[in-house]
Amino acid sequence: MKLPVWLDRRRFLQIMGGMSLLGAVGSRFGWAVATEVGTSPPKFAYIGGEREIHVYSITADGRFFRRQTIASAHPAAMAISRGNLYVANRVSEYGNLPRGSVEAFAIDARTGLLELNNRLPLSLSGILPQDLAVAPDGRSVVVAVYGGGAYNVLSVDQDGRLARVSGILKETGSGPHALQACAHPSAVTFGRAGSVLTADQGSDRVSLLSISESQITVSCRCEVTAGSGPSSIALAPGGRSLYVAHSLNGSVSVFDYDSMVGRISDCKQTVPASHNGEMAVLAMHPSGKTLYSSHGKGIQAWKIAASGSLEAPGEVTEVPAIKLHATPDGRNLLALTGDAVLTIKINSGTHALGTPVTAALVSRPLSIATL
Amino acid sequence: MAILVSRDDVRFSNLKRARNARWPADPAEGISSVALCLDSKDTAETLQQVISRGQRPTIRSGGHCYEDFFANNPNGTLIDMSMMNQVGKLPNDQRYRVGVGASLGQAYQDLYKLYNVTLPGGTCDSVGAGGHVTGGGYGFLSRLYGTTTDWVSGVDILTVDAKGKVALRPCTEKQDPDLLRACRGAGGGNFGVIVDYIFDKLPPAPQEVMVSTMIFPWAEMTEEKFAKILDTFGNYFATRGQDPETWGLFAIIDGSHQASGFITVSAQFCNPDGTCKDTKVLDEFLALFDPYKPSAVVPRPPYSNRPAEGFGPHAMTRVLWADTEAAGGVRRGSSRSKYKSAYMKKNFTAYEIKVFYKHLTRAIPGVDLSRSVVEIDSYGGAMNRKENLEKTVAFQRSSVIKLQLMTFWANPAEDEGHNTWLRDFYKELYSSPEVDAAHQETPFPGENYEGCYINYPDKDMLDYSYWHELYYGPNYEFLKQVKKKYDPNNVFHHAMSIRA
Repeated sequence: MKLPVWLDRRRFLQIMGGMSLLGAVGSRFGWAVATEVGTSPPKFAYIGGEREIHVYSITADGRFFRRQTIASAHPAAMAISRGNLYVANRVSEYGNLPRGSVEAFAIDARTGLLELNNRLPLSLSGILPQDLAVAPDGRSVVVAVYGGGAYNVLSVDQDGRLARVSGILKETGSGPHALQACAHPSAVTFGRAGSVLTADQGSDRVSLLSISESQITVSCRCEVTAGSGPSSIALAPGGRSLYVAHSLNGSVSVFDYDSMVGRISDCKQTVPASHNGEMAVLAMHPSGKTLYSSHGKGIQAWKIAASGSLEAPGEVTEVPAIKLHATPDGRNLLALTGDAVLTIKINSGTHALGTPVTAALVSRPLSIATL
Repeated sequence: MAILVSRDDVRFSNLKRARNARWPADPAEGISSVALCLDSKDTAETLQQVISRGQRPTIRSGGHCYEDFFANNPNGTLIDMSMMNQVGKLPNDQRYRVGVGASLGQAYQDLYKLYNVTLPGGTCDSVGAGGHVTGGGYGFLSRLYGTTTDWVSGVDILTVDAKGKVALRPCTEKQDPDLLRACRGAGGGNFGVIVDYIFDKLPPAPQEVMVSTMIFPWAEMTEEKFAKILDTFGNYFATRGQDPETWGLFAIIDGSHQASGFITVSAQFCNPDGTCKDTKVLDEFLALFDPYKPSAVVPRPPYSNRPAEGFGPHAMTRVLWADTEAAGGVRRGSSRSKYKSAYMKKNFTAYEIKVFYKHLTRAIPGVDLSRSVVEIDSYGGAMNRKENLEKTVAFQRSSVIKLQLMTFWANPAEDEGHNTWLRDFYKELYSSPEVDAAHQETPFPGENYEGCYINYPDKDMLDYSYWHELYYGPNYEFLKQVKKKYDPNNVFHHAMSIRA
């Protein structure tokens, strides 16, 4: 599909030259207005840049207004829980030691603005974290430490501040690809309480980890295709299917996940994506009926059958998306590209993607969260 | 099978401790178990179990590590090698083997009694061979024979491959020679678990040595006299001390803080044939200090570094039984300490001597500096043999003096005061034109200095982006390659290890 409203930076700025000094951007025609009863569109968006987080308010018609830019070390992953924004910084040094870092920001409920609560180091040699997830009960955060080959667990205090690393799981492993000389934990998400699903790009593994008393152990491991490099995961609502995007061979896999027993089955389906890049991201539609994937050059929308299997995707939306985020109301897909945040309307019936529209210009965005 | 001492074992609170009572700095950084390994099979099995559990292993032999390299391992397992202390030869193998758990004192005695040979290693008899040898290992016989690592011809080391499997590698110049070279000088905790050091040859043990100590009370010291003592010492080793005839002489200035009462100049000497039939060299050296009139007074014996506790009307000190000398104890955690080091290629400058005097006479309110000292070691001799540059990664082969700055105390409330004293001293020492502008405050390798000694690690040096050049010099890229090859998952790491 071509990009009928895809604007280059110069033309865009020419058009936007008369806009508010607040830097409002975006087109009111790109945003799907929520019509479902009980499902509210997000009011705020948080975009991680190179060394900062931009806070945007989102109007009812989908315009992004930048309200705040606050310093952050290198926010590669973000998650919101109980009025706090948690960030993993993809850095390789903290306090002169080889460590990544995490941050906790309090979110003002009315304005959406951020205030830094605290910033802490990860474990020694825990460099270049790639992903983080907050437990459903909000009491712990798990970080996938790509460079350090480990997972870190941090407790969350009553006031939302992060406590120091309390649990470390050191991984070993490798694969046949040049980028798989060692383990590279790449993605984490929580299953039911105490269970963490992970993907390791370096060791070609998908794992189920358990957290108990702030310690983290392995419950179950599943080997995937050698050299595929699993690097992004998504869990269907209801948690019976696990989807994994592989960055090194451009595929998406499906696994059955039994949360009661705590087991991931062997892969039951693998589908090739349209493009083979060196990255892979997923976003699950909140209905659980559609999965969006990108391997760097375009976004595919996969229908999910009742069995959890993926059906043939619709047209590829040619957006060089490096991150995807489905809004909780299911109406829009937000995509990060090399220099922008795009909003893409989701068809309420088919979940097909509409025309991407630039919501905000951000230099080299890394991460996104909405509230 | 290794003996696992976990948190609920009564021995845990003792065995978990580092000698330096500062570590771990926070209890949350402490280990969850100690594995006492009795042989290499135990060690391999233990290491595999630790890896498979997703824990991090840290390694200890004598436990003298100055920093928290083995103690800072949150909920990890400490693999204790102290019981792997066999010294001798295998059947049908003429090479000497020293287990990493052997203390230097035990190794010296066993090698002497069994074979009449020795290691030219350090002066502290309870230091374990494990970290000492791989980091360099020098002492009284090193000017004559080189460092201990110069004599290593093989190491047996357990490594963890990319898949997480433990394997025993017997490294020699023909098998994994790059790993052998890296283990000769890079220091412990980098590539794997060394279980044995192997030596094709070892130098003969001296039959006898002459020892002498000259005492210079601070009460009789002036700045001028202090300067002359240091200059005399430094000039000797920068000039006459390079003559192989003098290599049997090793001398130390114990530059203790004024609060201690004395500084001393000690020497040990033997002829290259291991006798003391001709003491001309020692006499000549000692005579250089006659003008400064060393005192005949013997320094008072060191007082206990633990404050007496009161239990009723009498002062007494509580000691864990396993720490007592009667039990063959190894006194862990009884003293807090901090260290720094430097290699010097030339004699002291007038500036450096002034800085020494300033800080050795400095008083800091509320801080007892009576156990603060600069140990000034003679260096050079056989340690500067250039052929060892390619065989080892110990790159400092042009120095004539080696410094170890130390401060000891018992009260945690004095932590900041002692650290301040040492940091101020060191930074000022290397804030002169002798250090180029880009590397001020450090003895950066160049015309005057050769960096720092990895066996005297100092985390303060991480403040400098080039810290790895101070410790590893031009060999750091080579060491990174070895690291990537033999420990691709960076299982073995600490604050100053080779970066992955």
